[in-house]
Amino acid sequence: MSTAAIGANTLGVLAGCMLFGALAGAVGTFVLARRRALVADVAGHAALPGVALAFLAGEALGLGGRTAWLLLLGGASTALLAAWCVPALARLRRVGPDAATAVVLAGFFGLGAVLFSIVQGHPAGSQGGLRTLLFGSAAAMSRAEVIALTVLALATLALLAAFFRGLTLVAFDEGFARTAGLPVRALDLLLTLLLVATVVAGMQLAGIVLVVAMIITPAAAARLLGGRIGRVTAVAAIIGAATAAVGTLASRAVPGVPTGAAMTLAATAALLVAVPLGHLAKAARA
Amino acid sequence: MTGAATPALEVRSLSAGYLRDEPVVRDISFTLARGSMTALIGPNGAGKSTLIKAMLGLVPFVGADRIAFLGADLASVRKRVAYIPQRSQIDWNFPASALDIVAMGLYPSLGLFRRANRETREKARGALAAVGLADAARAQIGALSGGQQQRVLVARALAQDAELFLLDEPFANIDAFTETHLAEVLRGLRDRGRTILAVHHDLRSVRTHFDSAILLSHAIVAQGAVAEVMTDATLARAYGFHAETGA
Amino acid sequence: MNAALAVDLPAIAAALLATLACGTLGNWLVLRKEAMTGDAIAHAVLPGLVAGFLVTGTRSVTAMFIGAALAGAAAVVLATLLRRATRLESGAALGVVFTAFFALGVLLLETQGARQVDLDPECVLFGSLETLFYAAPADAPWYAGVPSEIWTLAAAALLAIAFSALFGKELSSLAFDPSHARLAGRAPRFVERALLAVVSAAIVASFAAVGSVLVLALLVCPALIAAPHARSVRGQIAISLAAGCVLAAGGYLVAAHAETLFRTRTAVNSAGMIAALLALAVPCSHLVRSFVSRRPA
Repeated sequence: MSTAAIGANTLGVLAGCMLFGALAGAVGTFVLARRRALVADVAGHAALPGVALAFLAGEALGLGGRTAWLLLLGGASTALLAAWCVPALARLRRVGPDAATAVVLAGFFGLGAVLFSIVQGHPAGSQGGLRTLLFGSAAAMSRAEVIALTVLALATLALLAAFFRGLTLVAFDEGFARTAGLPVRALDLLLTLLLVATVVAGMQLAGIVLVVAMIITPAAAARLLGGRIGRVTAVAAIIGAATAAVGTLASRAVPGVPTGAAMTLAATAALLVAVPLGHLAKAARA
Repeated sequence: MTGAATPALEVRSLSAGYLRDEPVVRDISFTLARGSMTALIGPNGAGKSTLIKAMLGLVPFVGADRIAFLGADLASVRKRVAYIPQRSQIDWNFPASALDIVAMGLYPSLGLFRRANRETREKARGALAAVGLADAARAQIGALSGGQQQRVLVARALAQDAELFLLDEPFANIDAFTETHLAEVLRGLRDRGRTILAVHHDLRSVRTHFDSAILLSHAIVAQGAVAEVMTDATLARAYGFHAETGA
Repeated sequence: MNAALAVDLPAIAAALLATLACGTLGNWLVLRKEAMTGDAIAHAVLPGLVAGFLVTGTRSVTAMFIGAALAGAAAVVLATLLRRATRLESGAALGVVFTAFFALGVLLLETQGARQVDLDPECVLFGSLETLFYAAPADAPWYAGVPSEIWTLAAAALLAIAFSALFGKELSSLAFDPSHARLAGRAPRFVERALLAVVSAAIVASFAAVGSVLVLALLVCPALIAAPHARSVRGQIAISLAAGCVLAAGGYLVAAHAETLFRTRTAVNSAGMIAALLALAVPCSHLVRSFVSRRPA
């Protein structure tokens, strides 16, 4: 893809990034409430082998390695598999949830390294592809990839909105949710699905290692400012969108700055600002 | 500084909690005489475990006018105080034998660089025998029953040869035989001048095992001899309803 | 044979030494239920590593270690401050701080260090086992030709084993029952802080040769492979090192000969291969254990 094509679609890329930021912030609110930050970390690293497999499959099927939807599907598949492996492994004796998470993360990431070295040996595989996947680059995304990201983000947001009430109850008052007869397990699974979708949507933008930061940091900042869950989610989405925009613009303005790093640092700055603001808000409420 | 009259444990105006500005226990004051056996009782969530942990410095937010162990602050008498946590707090899948765990009570006296030697293992075996587990020394702790596991924890404290024993629910979820045996071990300690403070959950057996009690419901409701503490009035105040005392 | 000596031997040596360094210490992390600490430290030290490199302009090991140490300490302090200042639970506070540090490291790496081939971000993540080679120098003793990463790793392995031997009892006691150990132990705070420091040193030492992908795997997998069979802490450490070393050497050889074995176009990433095998070995080890214990004695 040529840089000229991207230049023409700058607004499109920016819109897609902000959409992802909003989604990450919103989903992040529930991830924090359910203490699932580590699952986001695993999902990010575990998407790597899936993307490599999707590339190889795409080449083998004659679709072309960098078929956007195929890469997303591949990444999502391995990420979901990893999310399933963690509790399965944690059930073993002398393996706790922390250990299970670490093993699955390391294993899938290692597999990703192996598969990507195969991709890089492939005539069509390019060195740059791995780098942008690891650390993110808005500039390197093709038009098709931006469109795929936008569609996925919108679909995920729609799902989140549709099940907002149920997810809220499960996240913040599980006891009540159970007595109210809500399918807690199903909703938890839904959250995992939303989380994986978010990770996969943002992996080319923020990079698989730092996409988790976009999920937890804006949400943490919003949490500090306090308020009811609806408001916190909205604030998280706004902070997410804003920091995603800042990060994307910064990485385009200064050459060599990876988008993921820029977005993370912007989100962290937002959090640092939120700390004193949160105390003020709390004092005002008291 | 320390004489026979120095209380084993003295607490004045202690408040503690896990979150800032949200104390679980408020304004706690009490004194334990040496050679006493006291039960810390109260409803669930009253802060009994939190109180013990707070005194030992294991709770993030603690404030008190005075916390004195054996007349001094905890740091200088650490080895003379034994803490036996709730059995449920431990992961019994840890790779170790009963003897290994009891030996941990002796590590502090060994010094930083010396290895556990024969003398250590003999003392540990002795402590295990004192709680009736001499045959289970080589057994993996994960294979022991709940009562046996509780006895291993007590044996570890015995090996430490402490003067003050703080136990968190030592009689919870164990069989009657172990309960009787453990109560005997604790009474033996008391008879030798050691002091016992145990969080206890079962109101019916307080009278049987303990001389004195502290009734806690975020603040002290009553303290003193068991009969004085466990009256209908005080229990109603603490528990909010008529509690079965089996009197 | 010469090719093997020049390329395979140093790589296997590096992998084995990294296994000894990280695998030994990993047992303590797993027993303390702090398996993700390695992940956190690996994220946090990156800016320090890069800063050390930038400040001195060379790949000086000392500079990188000092930088990493400072970064690690700063991360821990900031995470604690954040937790105290807010109501964020510790997992979230740690996650925020460590990803921020990693982002800073990546930023430094890409904007300044990228000009130098030396600090390649992919190498930091995926290791450089394939590029280690030994060239017997013409007029110098044989050890002058050994790549510097090997010496660093050897020192780290020695440190890890010595630390575990010296403080084994305190570490075991802290792992089994932290509240009892902190109350009755000799110098519990010192031992815990020292563990963190030694783990960080092992991670930094291993970064260059094996990359964070294998460091993460080595910190948890050998211990977990040994866990189902262990009847004592010492036993677990011994089994973990044996299993880890076998898989490290084996994994490297499989990856290096992938062209002949799997008909791939190039050799595959060996650090990743070892990591994947180590992870796979964990559930396999449990299967073996349950099979063995079901058989009549």
